[in-house]
Amino acid sequence: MNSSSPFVACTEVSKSYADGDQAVDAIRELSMEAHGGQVTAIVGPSGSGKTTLLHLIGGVEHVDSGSIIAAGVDLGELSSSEQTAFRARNVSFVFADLNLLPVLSIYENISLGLALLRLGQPEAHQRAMSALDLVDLADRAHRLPATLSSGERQRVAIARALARESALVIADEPTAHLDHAMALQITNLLRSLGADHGSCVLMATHDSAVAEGADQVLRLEDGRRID
Amino acid sequence: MRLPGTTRLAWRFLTANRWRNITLGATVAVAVFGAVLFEAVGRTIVDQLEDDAQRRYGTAQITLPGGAAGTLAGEAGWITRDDARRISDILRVESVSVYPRVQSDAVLISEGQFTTVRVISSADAADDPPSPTDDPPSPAQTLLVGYGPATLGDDAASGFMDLDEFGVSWVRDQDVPDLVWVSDDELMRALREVGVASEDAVGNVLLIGPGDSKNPGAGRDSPDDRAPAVVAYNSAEILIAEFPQVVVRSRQDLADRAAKISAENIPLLLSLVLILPAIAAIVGSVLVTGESRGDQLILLRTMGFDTPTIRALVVREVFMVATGATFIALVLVGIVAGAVPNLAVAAKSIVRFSVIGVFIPPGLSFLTARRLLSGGIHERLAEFRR
Repeated sequence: MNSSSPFVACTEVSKSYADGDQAVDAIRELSMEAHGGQVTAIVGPSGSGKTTLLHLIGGVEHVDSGSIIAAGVDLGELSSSEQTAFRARNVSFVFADLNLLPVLSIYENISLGLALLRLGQPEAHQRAMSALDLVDLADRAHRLPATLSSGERQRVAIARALARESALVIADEPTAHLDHAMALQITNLLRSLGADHGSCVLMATHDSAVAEGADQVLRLEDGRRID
Repeated sequence: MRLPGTTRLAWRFLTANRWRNITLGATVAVAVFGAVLFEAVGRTIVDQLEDDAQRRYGTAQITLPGGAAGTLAGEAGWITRDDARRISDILRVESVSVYPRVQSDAVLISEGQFTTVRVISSADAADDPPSPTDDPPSPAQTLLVGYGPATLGDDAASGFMDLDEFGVSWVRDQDVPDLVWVSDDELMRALREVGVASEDAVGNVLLIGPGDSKNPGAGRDSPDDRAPAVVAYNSAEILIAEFPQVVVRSRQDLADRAAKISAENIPLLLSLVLILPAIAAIVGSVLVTGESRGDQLILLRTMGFDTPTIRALVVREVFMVATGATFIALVLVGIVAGAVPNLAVAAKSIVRFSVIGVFIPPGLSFLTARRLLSGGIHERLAEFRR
């Protein structure tokens, strides 16, 4: 990935939501860039627009105005189904909670993400096991998520992104429920996604210690960039 | 979009959610099994009612209207002997139930078979009938023989005749107290004489009224030229042609009257007893299943699965459960049907309830999935974050 060419470029992006009769401006004329191979931390208080920004960049939402170019694609031009295809090709999400299907084993959760890439069975298996190996969970491949700790489940979510070789990894408060040591471990894994695998990692967090490890920090308040 | 491995994943969903799916499957199975079986039981009851009605009423009950010349006064009136003879000529008589003056066992001539008369008491027994258990029984002086069914109803009781008066010989049974034997030929001749039976007294039922089983002498008090009213069965068309004023009640009406309920509705009512709560349970199961999947469906969407694929996964899972459950239910129905003789299991109801069992649950899951997938991902994710 060419570091001079941003993988994500947001220009004058605005997004508002209806809250009863009133419109709430979640993002206001925000511009930013994020590069492949780097971790960008988005920090700000609750309600500052971190999650909305991630959803806009991840192709979950459409902008009201402005533009977002990600992986060379203007997301504002995509239909809903094209957004879905964009997510399937390029994006992996890591959430604070909702990461894994509880009825599938860890290995199957990772395989499910690979199903969208239409890989052959041997390659899919190899990718899944390699990813689990990288997050140190290969020996628990066939356990259900409920049998793992919160930190281990986050590692599985990151392993899924590793296996998919996603160009864009969106992590929304990935360390929210973790202790400091585990948060550091997850942060390091996310950094390795960028540094070792070239992914563009966007991570929303309210933890300044986690943000310090990022290559770039974007500060938001009331939907505006304040740094 | 058709994805590799989704069938395997669907199976994994099935096995991983086994308790929830077992609950859903059991609900479907109970619904189908219960509904088919209840309807079969209902049909069996109806068949029994109809058989009973057929036995008792033939194809129709015909009542000659009262007030018309030569006809009976309603169901409890009298008919001229001429009309009685005309009717008996028209009707083919299958059996004539003949009773002694005090209700007890009866002479029964069925399809020409000679049966017995149980004699209870003397000629005065009508006013003060002794108990059949009197020991020793009073010797019969005059044998009054009633004719007509005692079970037909209040409006169609028996008539009576004095066998001695009509020259019907009778002989006391040597072994069984209170039992006399009468001659088939003589009895039939006597019945024809009072206009009850015709020469071809075989075939269908001829029931004679009125009278009162509790007042067996009533038949003897008829006007001189009158025989008891006739309530006849079968040959309805002929009778209607002969007596245009007759009132015909269908067998179904009679069955309904007898059962105090519409025979048509019994199977439906019985099946609804189970199918309605079962359908409610199916709806509940599917909704609960769907709601509990809401977060999983959203996760699949964020991963890049499109909504038709996700919907197909959900529907296929429920379809597999529902189909399996319906199959099991039908096997059980087959076992029960084989074990219970004369259980009226109808192919139509099997098909109907199988369609419900197989298609309603996945149909509901389709609607549930569509609703769950219809909202924006952002809003749903925000809900999960709260």
